[in-house]
Parts: sequence; structure tokens; C-alpha cells
Amino acid sequence: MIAMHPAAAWSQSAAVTLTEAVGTNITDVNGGGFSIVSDGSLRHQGPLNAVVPIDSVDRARIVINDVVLMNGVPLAVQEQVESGERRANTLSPDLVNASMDLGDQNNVAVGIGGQVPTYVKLGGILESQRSVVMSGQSFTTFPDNKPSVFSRSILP
Amino acid sequence: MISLFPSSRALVLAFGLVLAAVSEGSYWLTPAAVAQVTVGYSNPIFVSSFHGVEQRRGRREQFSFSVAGINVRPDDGTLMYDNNTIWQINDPEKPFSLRVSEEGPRLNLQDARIMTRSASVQRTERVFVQISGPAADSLQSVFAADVRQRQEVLVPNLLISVFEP
Repeated sequence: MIAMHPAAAWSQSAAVTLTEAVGTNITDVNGGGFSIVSDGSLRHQGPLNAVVPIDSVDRARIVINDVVLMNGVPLAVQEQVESGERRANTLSPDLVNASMDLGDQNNVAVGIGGQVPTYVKLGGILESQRSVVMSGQSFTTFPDNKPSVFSRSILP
Repeated sequence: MISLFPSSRALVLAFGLVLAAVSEGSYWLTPAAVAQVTVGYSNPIFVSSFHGVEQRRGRREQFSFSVAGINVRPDDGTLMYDNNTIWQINDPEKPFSLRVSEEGPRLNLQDARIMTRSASVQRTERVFVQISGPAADSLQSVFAADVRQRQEVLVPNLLISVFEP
């Protein structure tokens, strides 16, 4: 006669997961723009605007908690410079020669504004997560049928 | 990149215990009363690890160009204009306005690098008993039937922890 009596089993498991995420989000605008408004008192015969090529771009710098995520010119922006696409559509430098005709007016109105081609948004993400999972289980089986080296009566 | 390193360790201990039933008034072994108790032990351990790197990159370009003007004209005399047009005042005696906005392009760049490392270990310790022999039917428990045993007997403290060897 042969009898199998599973007596006891213990199971343990542990898992550790470490996740790190580093990311940047950059928005850049090429071209820009301007605005100029006058009530007619501005005297200017030349061009109002000029398209100026740009041969260099400022660095973009993103730092979070002393960690440098970005410090330089993004490749896509640098490609605009190298291909000659980087430019500024801005007010003409000739406007410095413009004059005001006051006539018999008591007041004049002139408005000038502009936008420059540059970064309009710089964002970054620096994230770290650590997860630890542990579990364990055990069971003991004492069969009722004899023979057994264990006694049924000692079960808790 | 996924790497899996399974390993297992199994240890089986077996020993035989020859039990002899001593007949009343005699010290001779009775062949029919012999039984064999085999205790088996296994402790397989599985270990796995994972290391992954995910790179996400996004690029979006949006082109836009707008012009709003009053009493202005392109300097080349045409009525056609684009983002390279140079503007002039049409009638210097009258009010004028010119607003130009160019996004050529608005460039949105996204770059993310996600690294994941994980490791897990699992083990199952199992003790089993096999009894064989002609005297198996007559074998009784080594524990007293009416005495509750201490917990140390049920759960031996010789277990090996996976956290602290």
C-alpha cells in the first residue's frame, strides 16, 4: 500500500517595479508679425514692413528640480535656420525716418506692436514611481485517512 | 526589450524510516509490520526581470498667415499678397492700419522617454509524506491524539525568506 499525504506548502512572492519618465514639450513660432495703426498723421513713404532672415536662435532651457531636461536649440528649429526658413516678418527699419504731421490737430494717434519668432511654450515632465508588492500564503493538509504521521486532532 | 531568467531549484530529500513493530514479549522483527515513510521536500524558485525603454516623439506643424489692413497696398502694385509681401500706405493723407500675423509654422515638439524596470521572485516550498509498506495500515501518528501541538511543529521556523536569506 502506498499513500500520499501532502503535509504542508508555503508560497512567497515579491515584485519591484521602477518607472521613470522624462519628457519635454516645446512650441515654437516662426515668422511673428506686427501691427501699425495711424489716424493719418504718420508720414511715411517707404515700406511698412520687412522680412528679415534669422541666422541663429536662442537656446531653449528646461530645468526641473535641478535636472536639465533641455538646454539647446531643438533640432527641428535648427533645421529652419540651416534651410533659411527662419525669419521675422516685422516692422520696417525705415520707419525711423517717418514723421508726424500735426497740422492743426490737438492730438494724434499712432499704435505700433509686434510679435517675434520665438518659443511660446516650454514644458517638461520628470516623474519617478516605485512599486513594491509582496505576498505570501501557506497551507497545511492533514488527511483524515490513516496512516498518517500527523494527527487530525492537532489542526487549529 | 524583454528578458526572462527563470531558474528553479528543487531539493528532494528522502529518507526511509523503518519502523518495526515489536511484538509483545519479543524483540524479533516481524516482516509483515515493516513500513517505510518517505518525506519529500521541494523548493522551486522562479525569478524574472524586465527592462523596457519607450520613446515617444511627436511633431505637429500648423501654418497660418493673416493680414488685416485699411488704406494699405502691396508695394509691387499688385493685388496679390502673401507672407513675403511688403506693404505701403496707399493714401498718406488718410488713416491706415495694418496687422500681420504669421506662424510659419507653429511647431509643437513632444519628446518623452519612459524607462521601466521590474523584478519578481516567487517560490513555493512543499513538504509531502509518502508511506508505503506492509505496515502502512497499522502506522499511527507520532503525535498524541488528544494533545494540541505547539505552532512551531506545524510551521517550522527553518523557512528561508526570499527577502532575507
